[in-house]
Amino acid sequence: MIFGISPFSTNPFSTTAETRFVIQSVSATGSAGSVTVVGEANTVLTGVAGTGSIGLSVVTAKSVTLSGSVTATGSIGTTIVVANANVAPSGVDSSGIIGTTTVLADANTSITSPALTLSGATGTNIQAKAVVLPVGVAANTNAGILTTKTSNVFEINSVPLNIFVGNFTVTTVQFDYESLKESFDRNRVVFIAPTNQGYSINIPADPNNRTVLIEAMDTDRVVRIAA
Amino acid sequence: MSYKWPDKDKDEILDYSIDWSRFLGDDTISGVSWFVDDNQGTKTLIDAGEVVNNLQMVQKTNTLTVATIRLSLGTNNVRYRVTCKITTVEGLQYERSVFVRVKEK
Repeated sequence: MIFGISPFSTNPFSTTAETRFVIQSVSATGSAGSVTVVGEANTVLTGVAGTGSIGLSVVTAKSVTLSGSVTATGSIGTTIVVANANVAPSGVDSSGIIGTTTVLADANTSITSPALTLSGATGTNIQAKAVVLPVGVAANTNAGILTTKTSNVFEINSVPLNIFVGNFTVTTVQFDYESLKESFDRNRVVFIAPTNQGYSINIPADPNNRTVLIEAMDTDRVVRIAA
Repeated sequence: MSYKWPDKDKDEILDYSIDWSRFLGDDTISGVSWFVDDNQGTKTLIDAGEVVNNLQMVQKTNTLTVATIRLSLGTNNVRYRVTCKITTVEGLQYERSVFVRVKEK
């Protein structure tokens, strides 16, 4: 709306002008304090970007269908990056430079080369899961405390064993016959008879007859009344 | 008069029978029930799979003249009184008791 005075008139005038634009993109940027950016797309996305420069930043990006690429970057403070792709993504990258960084990446289909790189900070958790056979998985850390658990099963075709160091020591005890031979007396010798080596015991047939025979009744249980 | 079966080991499962053939004459067995005295001396009906005073009746069978009980378990050095009650085709009922001791063999 515009207010003014016309040179051809002493009366003030006013007018109204309105302009409408078609919005081609959506962007959000926070430079201070806590910033939360949530972007969801159920259709094909060409690109989604969220940036928080100071304070707590949370970036969540979800793509239900095929997306070209998803990138999230946090430079200072606590940064959490969660990226989920239900179809084959062409590339997923996430990087945390300073502070406690947690990176979670799940892929349900074949991933040709996911790569996670962490350049600093202590107390860093990295989890990478591939449901199907990945072609290559690499994780690199340059500083801080790193715990690596790796289980590998290899087929061993031969087992060599060589011992070259040390000497064999053999200790034997010999019966001291010389010191005892003078006190030997045959009369004090006890002979131990051989034991019976047959450990089988023969169980004879069961002689018991476990049937009781009830004899016939010898009374007729009839009381005869005399006349 | 009391009857006696041979001893039984507690780990044995044995058949014990009563032959009623001479007693019944021309009559025959139509049904059999078995009883075992419990630890109070009370005559207790026992059926297949049941245990009375730690003595188990595994099963019972009979022919027309012979009643058989299969016994398991039992307590060492205990003498059990087992009673057999039969019903004949003619509708008569008889019962006799037999002692059996459980003893380690």
